[in-house]
Amino acid sequence: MKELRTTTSMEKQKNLIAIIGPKGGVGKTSISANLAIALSRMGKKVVAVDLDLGASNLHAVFGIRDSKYSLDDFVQNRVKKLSDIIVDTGLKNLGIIRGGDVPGITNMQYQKKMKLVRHLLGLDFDLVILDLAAGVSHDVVDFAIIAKKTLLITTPEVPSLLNAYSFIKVAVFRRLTFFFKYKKCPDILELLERAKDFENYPLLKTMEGFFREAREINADVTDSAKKILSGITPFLVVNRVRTGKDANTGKVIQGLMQNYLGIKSSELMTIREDIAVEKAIARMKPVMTETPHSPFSRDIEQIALKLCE
Amino acid sequence: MSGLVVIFSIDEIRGGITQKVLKRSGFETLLLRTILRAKDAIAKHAPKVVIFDIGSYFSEEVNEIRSLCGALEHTPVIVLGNRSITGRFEGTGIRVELVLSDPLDPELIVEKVKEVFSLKVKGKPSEGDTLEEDLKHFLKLD
Repeated sequence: MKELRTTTSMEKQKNLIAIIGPKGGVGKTSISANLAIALSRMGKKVVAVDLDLGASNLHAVFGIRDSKYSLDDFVQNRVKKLSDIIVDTGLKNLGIIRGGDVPGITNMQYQKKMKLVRHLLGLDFDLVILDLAAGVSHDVVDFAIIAKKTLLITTPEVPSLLNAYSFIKVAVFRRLTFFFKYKKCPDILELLERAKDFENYPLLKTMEGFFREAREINADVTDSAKKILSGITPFLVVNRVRTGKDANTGKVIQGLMQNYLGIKSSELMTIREDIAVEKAIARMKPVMTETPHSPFSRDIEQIALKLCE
Repeated sequence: MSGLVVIFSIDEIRGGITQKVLKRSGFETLLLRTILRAKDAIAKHAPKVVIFDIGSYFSEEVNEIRSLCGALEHTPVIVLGNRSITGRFEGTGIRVELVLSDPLDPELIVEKVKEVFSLKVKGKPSEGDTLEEDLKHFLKLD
């Protein structure tokens, strides 16, 4: 994992925006596609990459039925450069990269994954939107870690909120594991392992408790790790909001992330439930082009503006 | 009663009395004489209640216990000791009614421990609980 550690520490500031929806069906792909449009309309040169490997459908949101290449071709070395498989959407400033569907692509070999990361970082675009798969697999978490900004998408329902919290927890532990391995701190790594079993180690239930104990082992390394953690500031987006109570669910998750994981979500935004989304999906057209003044489109524009601040 | 009560006291007599009355009331207890051991026991056994008998300790030890109390935000803590010292536990998140100033009152200690145990049982999330409580329950953070 040495290469990934180096990449994440040195090039995290690149132009990648990861769209994460740990629970399937929360509207992640619709948000990715329409956010890419909103950003391109703001004059940014944007490419949206479908990394929902094995279950890709970003192209369908744009109404693209056929294209010469997909990510399969890049992963299987049929094309040399990732930029060679960018598909024109017909919209100004916006291209997409279709996901792969070949069996086994979800468990991409490490070297192939690293090659993909290098090429993503090398794309000559103002912004690269990564539409990631559901779940909390290390593949998904690693792409989220390397992105400059992450949008964590949830709906107001409990299962989705739980998955959102679990995703951030996994990302925090993975990031810290990389760091403590890199710093060669086996004792702190052992403590981190114990923190996963916090029911038996209640002092380690919170990141604050973990850092307190870790400082006793190595204060300098622990303080550096805390700085890394302070750099994880996901945008939390609650989708399909119908009521004020729905909107408040984001605050609850924000509170839990801050109190237990030491993660401060940089923004909390909501997207209203909107029938326009369903209609646009049925027509295989993006909501932003079909109904640019719909509540969904307006909320997406607000998120785009925030991302560009 | 199921669940462990960890008692920290360097005063053999006060610690002994506290342990005895709690045992007599059916509580499982563990009496420890050093902060280090208490800390280990808390980490290892996940007690339901921790009792710190701070008596009239030196300032440095009290500070250490204060910081430990701050870390135990989800484990109820009862503090026993001289009034001049128990006052220093304000702002650590410990409920005021669980700071018991001298003289040592064994019956009151038992009463408070029972109260904490009963609150813990009542505190289990149910249908009417808030979203936060539900999430904490599912995430095992309660």
